[in-house]
Amino acid sequence: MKQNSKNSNIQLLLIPLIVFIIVKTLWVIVEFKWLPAIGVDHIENRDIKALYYRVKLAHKEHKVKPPKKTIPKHISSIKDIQLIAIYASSDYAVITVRYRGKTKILATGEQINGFKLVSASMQYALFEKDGKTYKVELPKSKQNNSYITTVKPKQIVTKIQEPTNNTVVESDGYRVINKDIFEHFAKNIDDIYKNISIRDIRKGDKIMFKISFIKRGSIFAKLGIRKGDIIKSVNGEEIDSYNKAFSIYRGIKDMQNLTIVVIRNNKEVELEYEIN
Amino acid sequence: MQMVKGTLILLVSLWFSLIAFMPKEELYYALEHRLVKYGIELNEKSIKSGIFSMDISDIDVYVEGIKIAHIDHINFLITLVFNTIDISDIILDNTLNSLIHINIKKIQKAYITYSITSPLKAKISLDGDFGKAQGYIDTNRSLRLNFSEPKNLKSLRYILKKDDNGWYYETKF
Repeated sequence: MKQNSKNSNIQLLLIPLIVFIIVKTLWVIVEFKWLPAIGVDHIENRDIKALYYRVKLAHKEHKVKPPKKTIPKHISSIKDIQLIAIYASSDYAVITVRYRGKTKILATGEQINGFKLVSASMQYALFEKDGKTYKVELPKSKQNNSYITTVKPKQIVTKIQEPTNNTVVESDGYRVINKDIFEHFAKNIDDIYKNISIRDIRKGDKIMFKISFIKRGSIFAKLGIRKGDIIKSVNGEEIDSYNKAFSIYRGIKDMQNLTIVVIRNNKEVELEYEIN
Repeated sequence: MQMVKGTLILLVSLWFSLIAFMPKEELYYALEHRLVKYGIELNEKSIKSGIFSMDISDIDVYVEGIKIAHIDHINFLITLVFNTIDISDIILDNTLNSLIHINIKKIQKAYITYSITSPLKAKISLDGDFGKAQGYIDTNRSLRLNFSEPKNLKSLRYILKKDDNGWYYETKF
């Protein structure tokens, strides 16, 4: 009797043992046959880099004149600074100058070749260097045109918050963009949506970005982008995913040059920008 | 009597071994691979699996390659009859906020429960910058969230609907 009871107890103990072995074996088979041994590692897409050199990738929208070669002088003077545009208020000024063939945007207090911008009026800008004041006049052909803007004190606040059209200056076929524009749009993304709308078009795994709306007179319109343009590449990097598009969004403020290739009427159009 | 004992021991040991020997990490990896097909990637720093549970820490969530959120901790409790996913501190990336125009930075708690008593639904409970919400996901692939204690819902209203019980979100996926 006792022997029988012992045997049945051993049998009861054997049940879980056998079940454990069977289940474990089954799980091992499932693991090796169907389950992956490692997870998915996200590979950060490298940020779109600023161009180190420029290569003509497509026909340009407008033929760009070759930049005038300037012979470097050993001692630069105020004459090297050519005034292109003025944006002035009673206590704040932003000017666009050409210095040694390169366009730069300066705000009050900023320097170029040691010449510090002190103030600006409708016709001229005042610089300071070594205690001396220098006056650079706007060429007469550019006076009294849209490059010059005076701002009432009330408007000063909006000037800082909202980029004006003067943040994009067209020069010799390429456009010069004020860096502040990117800071503004990074902080006020709603302003982007008000001015431009981009639609994604999927072709297999790839995504293309098509401009479906551009507000007339907006900064985006001044950039030369048009409704219906499909963004092909930025700085030579093909834009075929959200990841790449956002790499640009994140890294654009650190770029100095920007080349956007868009497909317009089945032709590639190259748009070039200098960011100052 | 011996038969009943044997059956009970068989069922209990089967239940226990199914959970205890479950390759939880590998199942989680399989989930990761599945999510990749929908453009979602999860990058975790550590996974610890126990007998009935699994803890995952410091998870970065990417959608279409863009980081949209960081999750501090996820705890999976698996008992087959009652299962929970307890997610703590979901910090939404600024990119997401700017992309979909919402002003929500953090979800403190997300609690998902699945019980065999309601096999067709998984219940969801959320506590975040938007207040508190309860809802469910069902087998018809629909999700509904009722905002029982709404807070700062202004930025979310364009995706919400309203009925007698208040604001709610409903979608099919």
